[in-house]
Amino acid sequence: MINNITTNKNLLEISNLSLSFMQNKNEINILDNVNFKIRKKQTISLVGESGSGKSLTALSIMGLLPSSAILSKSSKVVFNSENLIKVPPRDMDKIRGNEMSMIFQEPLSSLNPLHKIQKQIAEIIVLHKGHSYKSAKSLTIELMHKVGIKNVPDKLESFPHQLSGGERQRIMIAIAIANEPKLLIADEPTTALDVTTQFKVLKLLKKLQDEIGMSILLITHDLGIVKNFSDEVCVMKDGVIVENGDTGRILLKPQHDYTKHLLGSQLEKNYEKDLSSSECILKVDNLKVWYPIKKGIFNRRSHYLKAVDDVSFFLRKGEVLGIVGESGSGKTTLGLAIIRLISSKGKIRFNQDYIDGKSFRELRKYRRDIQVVFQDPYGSLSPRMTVEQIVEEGLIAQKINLTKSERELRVCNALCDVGIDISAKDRYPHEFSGGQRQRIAIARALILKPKFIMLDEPTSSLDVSIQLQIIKLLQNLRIKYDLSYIFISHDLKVINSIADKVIVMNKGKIIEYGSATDILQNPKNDYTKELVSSSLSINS
Amino acid sequence: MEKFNFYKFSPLAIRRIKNFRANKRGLWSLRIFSIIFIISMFAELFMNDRPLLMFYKGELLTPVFFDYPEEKFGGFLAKTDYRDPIISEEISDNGWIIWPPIRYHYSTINYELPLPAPSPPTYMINKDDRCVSYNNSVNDKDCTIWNWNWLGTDDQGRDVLARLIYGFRLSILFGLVLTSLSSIIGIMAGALQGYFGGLVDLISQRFIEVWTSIPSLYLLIIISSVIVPSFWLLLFILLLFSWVSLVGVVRAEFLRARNFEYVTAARALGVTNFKIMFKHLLPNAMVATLTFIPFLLNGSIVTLTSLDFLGFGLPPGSPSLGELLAQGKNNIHAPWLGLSGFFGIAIILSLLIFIGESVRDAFDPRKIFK
Repeated sequence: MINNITTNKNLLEISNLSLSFMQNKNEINILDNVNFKIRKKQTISLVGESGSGKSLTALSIMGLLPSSAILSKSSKVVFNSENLIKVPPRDMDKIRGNEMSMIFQEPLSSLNPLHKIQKQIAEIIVLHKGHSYKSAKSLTIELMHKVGIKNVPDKLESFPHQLSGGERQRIMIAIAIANEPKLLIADEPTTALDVTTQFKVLKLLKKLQDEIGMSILLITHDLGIVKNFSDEVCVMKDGVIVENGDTGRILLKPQHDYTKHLLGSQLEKNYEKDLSSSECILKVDNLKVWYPIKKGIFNRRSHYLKAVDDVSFFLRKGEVLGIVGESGSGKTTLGLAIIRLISSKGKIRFNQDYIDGKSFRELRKYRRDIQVVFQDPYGSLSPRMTVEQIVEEGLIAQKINLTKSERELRVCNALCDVGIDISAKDRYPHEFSGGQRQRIAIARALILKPKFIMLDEPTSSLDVSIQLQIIKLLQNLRIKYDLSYIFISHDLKVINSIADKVIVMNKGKIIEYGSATDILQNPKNDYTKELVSSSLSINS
Repeated sequence: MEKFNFYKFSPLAIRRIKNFRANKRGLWSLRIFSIIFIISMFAELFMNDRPLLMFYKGELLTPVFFDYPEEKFGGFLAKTDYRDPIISEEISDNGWIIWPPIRYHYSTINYELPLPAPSPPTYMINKDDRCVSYNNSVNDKDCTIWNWNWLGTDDQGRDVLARLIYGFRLSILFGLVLTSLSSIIGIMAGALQGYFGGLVDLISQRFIEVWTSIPSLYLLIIISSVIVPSFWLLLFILLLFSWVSLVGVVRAEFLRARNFEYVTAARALGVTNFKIMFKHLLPNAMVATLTFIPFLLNGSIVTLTSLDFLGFGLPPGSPSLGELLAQGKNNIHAPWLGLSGFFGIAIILSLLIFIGESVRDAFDPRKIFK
């Protein structure tokens, strides 16, 4: 197979691609002398952390760069023996969507929310093949079958918001392959999807590649995907390709330090402790979060949406409980219900007190023991407060009597614990990277010296190497302060590396509950099995 | 960097100020507006029928700030009429006078009009006719450029320029007070609705819908046909209806932001509702609100002007732009009335809109300025 590929001629050849932006009269280099080739029917993946220039490379191939971007004179993007940089915009329109197409990370924002699916798929056929919308319909249906959409006649008339994330990404793929392109650029096509969906979508891409005979440029940060789906890999850092070559070779024998660093950032379990004798800090019995769905003019409750249904578990002091499940399985709702930020039914016992049924005011004194860290480090810090103000807010809100210097000391200690330099306390959140912000969010949770922290996907929006750092930090803090965590994640690798016990959730119910090693290594339930097998690891 | 906690702008604010300064039209509008605003705030020092400073029989007097009885200078009125030639001659014989650049107050009636009121701007009249009403005709020492009516006079012989500037001050102050009061009420109402949502929101929204359906202009006309409204009464009545205009914007911002993760995080820390609203949500809502305020200010000025134009506004004799426009309409043969009124109001409103636009752009994070 490999030999077969090498005899084919290059479909795309990028040479000396350099790109810069002007900012405040300074030229900022984004891409520096990028070279790689894609042969026919080949899958090449472009790997790197966020900000390494992966997406801009893709956009320069498509000719979709922002107008402020400056390409260097020597840059060449040769597609089908034509230099795309020299092609006038009007001719470029004929190539885009026809000979090469692109799928994006976030399928909801790449589909027009106001048009039906049928129209969105048909549009690309009408545009490039000269069909009318009527005659394009049969082609549209065929495409939707091809990308594995079930119940096609209904979905034709749906709007994007009525579809699930996986279905939307399938629709995006249908649009991208409608004209059987020679090159498909997939920019993080599965990052926003659940593990099981991610696996299915990638398999679909592979299948379509065989049918149509297209080349795929796969942009990703996930080495598991690279290992399982690509022929060759280019590792990118700060706009430079530091290493490229055959996937197997690179993953086995990385030459460049950065590649080694990326490979070394894989999560592993490194701490275990017998907790069976420690006291129970949190006990949840029959927790329910039901939303009534009202119908008719009298607002009768026809039925309930059961976001969390009859969940019971307990958490020991110093223990980490992982909650896994796909999006929509009720993980986050459960988390918010436990810390009483949304109302629920059922018993929640924290230490000796039942905290269900307590009012917001009564709960305030428990808040210092129960803290929370959210997924999105960009959304969870107020953009108009300095780091110091953010971190000390808890102390002020809890009316802990401290002098100004004592308070400063506490802030100092909390920032030290999470590894943020104290000189940064007067800066604003936007001056920090995603990982640093997550550290600040953890410092905010730590300052009240809580006993229990609810971590809602704290690493999901971070790069792999940062993910590792945050997990290590959480692990250290747990040991240092004897903390208990509830760790919500959709990523089994993360859960595996930190959790002692695991709850697998689906549709609001607990599917499986037990020790982490048992569940992740010998899943009993079919759903758990699917979840575990879909998780792409570079070790598998 | 040195630490001035209290004069430290956040990087965001610095960026916004920079963006604002990059917009030349907005910047110049602000400069011109500030000049007019400052002049009008100190209008008494620039256009007045009393001298700024005078020296009389070894005494330094400031008639701008103090009333002196005319007896002091040999007259008989309770308040001195310094424009009276006999008095002014008496003073200049025994000392000296410094006048403001324009020697008319908005209420001063010019008795030395060359032509019957409304008389045209002085520069439109030739030199011989200009001084015809003064005692010594062309040679009269009062027939100087300082006594010109630069924009003519109205139908009661009062200087149009003075009335325009004093009217500008009144309109702007009225607008500012009305805008700030209605912003405070509107922001509070919107914040409560957006933050608590649910039933509070539902009831308040329906109330506002009913309330806004009351035609406020007609209500004002009815009230002012019974009593003559003063500045404050007019303000109060307009306030009853103008506070609703900001509620929608603020409510929407609060509704949007109340589910942000940092708000949830603050709740998890046990921060009180009031503090969350004030510290976390209000700064976000301020951007949308600030954008709206110049237009609210303009709306207030236009309402006041239209009421004055119809004759239902401020008490008679007050310097007002609307009254000037009404005079222009009644005296078509004296175009300087209508034109001055028109340009006066058009310039203020345009300046405010330009400033507002530029503030809005400065707050827009997506806008990039060169």
